[in-house]
Amino acid sequence: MASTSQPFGIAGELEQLSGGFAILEAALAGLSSSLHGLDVQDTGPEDVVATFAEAMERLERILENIGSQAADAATVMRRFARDQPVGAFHEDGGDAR
Amino acid sequence: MNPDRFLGLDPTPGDLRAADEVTKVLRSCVVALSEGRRRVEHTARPDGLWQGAHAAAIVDTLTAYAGRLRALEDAVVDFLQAWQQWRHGIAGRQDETAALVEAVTQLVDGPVDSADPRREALLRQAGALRDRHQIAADQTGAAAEALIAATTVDQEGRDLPVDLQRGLLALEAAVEQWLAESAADLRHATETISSVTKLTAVVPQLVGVAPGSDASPEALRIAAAAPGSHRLITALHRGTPERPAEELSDASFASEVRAEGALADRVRGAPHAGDLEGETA
Repeated sequence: MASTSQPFGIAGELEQLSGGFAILEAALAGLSSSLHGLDVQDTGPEDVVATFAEAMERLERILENIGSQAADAATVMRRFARDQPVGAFHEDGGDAR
Repeated sequence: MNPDRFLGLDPTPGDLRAADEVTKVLRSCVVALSEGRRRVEHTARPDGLWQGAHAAAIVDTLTAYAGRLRALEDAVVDFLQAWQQWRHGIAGRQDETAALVEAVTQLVDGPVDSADPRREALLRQAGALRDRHQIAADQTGAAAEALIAATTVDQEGRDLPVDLQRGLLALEAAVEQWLAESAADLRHATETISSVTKLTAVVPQLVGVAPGSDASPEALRIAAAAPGSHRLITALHRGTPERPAEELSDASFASEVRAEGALADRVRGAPHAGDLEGETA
């Protein structure tokens, strides 16, 4: 039975935790390529554009890092949830798994 | 317009379209970080399901992780503001450059004289304009340096990617600990309470198979004393949508299916073990 309500129960809470990190990962997805595609060389005087470029590169790297770590965390939490003997139930009676 | 040709230099270099593209991407970064951070914070909210002593470590690690995301988000916001100011300044100063070029052009149309004091005055203005542009560029450069620092180390000076990874590992450890300490209690409490007839209001709430109903004061009292009590109370207070009436079967004496279980239990409303299994499978 499909359900849109929040799951609860032990596995349900772990599913919620996993969902939080999955949303974080999804939110950051695509930003790395946007930052990577930026050309800041013509945005100002030559002596400062190198700093702009480095800032964009560092931002790209850290967002990529966070996204990848969030994806890993979501997987781990999902695995914890899957390993639970008690299922993840929805408030309206649907099984979340 | 080619400022180099008329002024001997371009006092205000800066591609507005490229600057606008940077603004757009930075805004997307802020929105993404904010959305992700708020989702993590929502999980650890005070009225959330992660409550009680066993869940404290989970809430702490989630809160710390969200804090790190917030610090990064703030750093990007700070740089975005500096960048928008820079972008706005480029447009204004390039208008001034255009006016200087226009003025020099008017002089060139007349007699060409390199020693023309009017031309020298315009070139001095162009030099001053270049200096102002450079000062603004340096300020934006300083903001970029701050962003570089914020994406490299956290507020305590620790390596940020490593620190974020440690935060998530700590969260995994806290969840494992919670599973070891708390989940078993909750399962035990659920199994124990399911055998107590007067708590039929609790069991369906816990397993999530029945419409919501107000738990009796007695149910709340027993739940408060049970292992994992905060979780039971949360379940008891949870409002659930009512099941549509059409899902209930019509009462009929013509049924050939004989109900199982003791009549006394059924009169009291105690669910037969098979009923719950059937609904939760």
